[in-house]
Amino acid sequence: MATFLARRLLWFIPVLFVVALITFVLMKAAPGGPWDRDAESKQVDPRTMELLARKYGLDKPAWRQFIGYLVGDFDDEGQFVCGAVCGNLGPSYRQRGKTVQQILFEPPPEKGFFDSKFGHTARLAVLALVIALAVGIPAGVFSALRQNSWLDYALTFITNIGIAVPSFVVAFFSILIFAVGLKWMPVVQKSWAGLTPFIIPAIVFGFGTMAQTARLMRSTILEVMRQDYVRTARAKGLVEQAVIWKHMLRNALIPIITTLGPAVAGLLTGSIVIENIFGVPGVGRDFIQSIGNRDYSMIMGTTLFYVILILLGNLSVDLLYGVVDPRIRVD
Amino acid sequence: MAQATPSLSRSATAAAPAIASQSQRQLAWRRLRRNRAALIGGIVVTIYLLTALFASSLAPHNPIKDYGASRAFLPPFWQPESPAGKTYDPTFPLGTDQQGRDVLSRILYGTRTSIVAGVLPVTIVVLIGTTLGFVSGYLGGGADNLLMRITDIFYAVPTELLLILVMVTLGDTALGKAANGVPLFLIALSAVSWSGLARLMRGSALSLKNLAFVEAAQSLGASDFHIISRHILPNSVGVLVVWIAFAIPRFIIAEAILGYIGLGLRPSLNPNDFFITSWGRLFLDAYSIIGSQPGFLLAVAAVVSLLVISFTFLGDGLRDALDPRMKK
Repeated sequence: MATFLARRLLWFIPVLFVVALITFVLMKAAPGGPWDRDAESKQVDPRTMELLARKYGLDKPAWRQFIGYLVGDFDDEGQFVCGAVCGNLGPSYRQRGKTVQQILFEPPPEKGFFDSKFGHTARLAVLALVIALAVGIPAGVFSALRQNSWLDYALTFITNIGIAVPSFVVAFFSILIFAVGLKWMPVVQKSWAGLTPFIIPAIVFGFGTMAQTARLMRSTILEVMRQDYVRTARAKGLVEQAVIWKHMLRNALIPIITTLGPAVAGLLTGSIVIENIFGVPGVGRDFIQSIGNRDYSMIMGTTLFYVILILLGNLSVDLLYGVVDPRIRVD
Repeated sequence: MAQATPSLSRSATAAAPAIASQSQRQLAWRRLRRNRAALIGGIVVTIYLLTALFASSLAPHNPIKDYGASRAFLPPFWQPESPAGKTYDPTFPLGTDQQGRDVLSRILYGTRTSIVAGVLPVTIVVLIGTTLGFVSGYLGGGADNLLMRITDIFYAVPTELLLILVMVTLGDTALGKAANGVPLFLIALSAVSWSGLARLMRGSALSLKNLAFVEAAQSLGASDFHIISRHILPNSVGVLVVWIAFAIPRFIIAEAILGYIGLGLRPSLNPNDFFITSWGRLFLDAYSIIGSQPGFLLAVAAVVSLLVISFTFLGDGLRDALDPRMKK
């Protein structure tokens, strides 16, 4: 177990290094710097540009910038400043005076952590996952228990649509239905306090995961239903509810967990687009804005952060297998 | 096993001439035709392909001509009056946008771009992915190890994220500006998507290379190239076809997402250019005027959804037809 964990964590290093390298090379290949496309301000004069480049260490050779970003470098006073390995993602080029990690994680004054950029993203993604599982699992179970009924056909139809149509398109339909048609919410939400404004975006966002969960749950329950241990449970006189929820469901959950890894990864990166459509002030919307601003340190920091989240998501899902199914040993 | 069966069925015909022989392909075709959802999906996909091909003859108006403020924000046919107070004009079946451009014509031209944006990168990815996958799966060794490590890394990095990164950083280079950004889009999408298919094809080659007919070919002295192209490839076609059916809509959506973010292909103002607009661009245009012309967004979303759903039905049908054992 410990070796498994250590090996998986060690594997993070080459992945993050390669991602950082690709991102860095792409940034360097991009024409123009972060200061010469300021739309509102006048052209930055050469002297200021030189000072800015010096301040952000852009006058150093590229390899040194890269190492400095990842590991750290000495500043003008000879003081060592730790880089990305210490969680220091560097100063944002465009939001002056703030570091990337401050922009991502620091809540506005007198607000809690969940009002930070990442807090909004986390609220959206967690809510989406919870809704997807809370609806998808029972839907799949009922569909299987009443196989070939109208309920089964209706659920299967919705499931097929949910799998085919990506959340990017579903989001536009939901805005047309709930904002333009029913007027339950404004097209552009202003306040993101609490959980209520997140509900419709989260349902849209989790729709695909919900559909996949329901489909997989249906087919697994249909398989599990015919197993000997289910017959045994019935034969020893267990109540039907106990047979379904204790014996069938627990075994049917194992394949669901294998799909959770990709689902979590999809939810995290999908948030880039979904946040942008619904106007959620999270990491994803910020990412798109920093792309428009060519805020390179912001783009690089957010990319690394996304990849770490996905790696951790996949790892925790692998660890979950062992909890749900003691027969599976990680080694 | 497309290789083994024809000879088997030929001998069966000799023994019992009353029963007509059927190749694997004919059997798969018959299974596909019996699947109504897949058949409808296939027909819809064909209609979209024809639309893409004949977009310029089908479009009732010039997609970039603006018909002036008086004919801007016209509602589509299912709305007698738009929120902006304009009444429906039958010469513009799906209405007009804020500049008074015909929505139907724009969607038709967008279809052409988006279909190409889905099909062309798939072709490139298939060439790269199958070659690398087969070679590493069949030959094994150091090249195989390297390929697996690379795909492991790509597996951890979401393709959308990489795609956005490439498009944003290289969008303003000479490559990004060439031909409305189509070449950069193709290269970027192929570069981030080949690894998944390579992994799939490697698995296929691995499972085939120890089977008896490959061993037979080896013992007859067939070259590696011959075995890969004549034995491994034909027996992997089923998996490949299903992958393609699911990859095309994924790539189309990738273009739509990039276009919506403003990173996709660059729109052209020259009516003779290939690229006038794409579905991604239309999503962006339509969403920005949702208050005064909600029908535009609804039309674009419906057109995209219908194609994506059709591809999924077709893909599911192909999977069931080509490999009945995989049937869910």
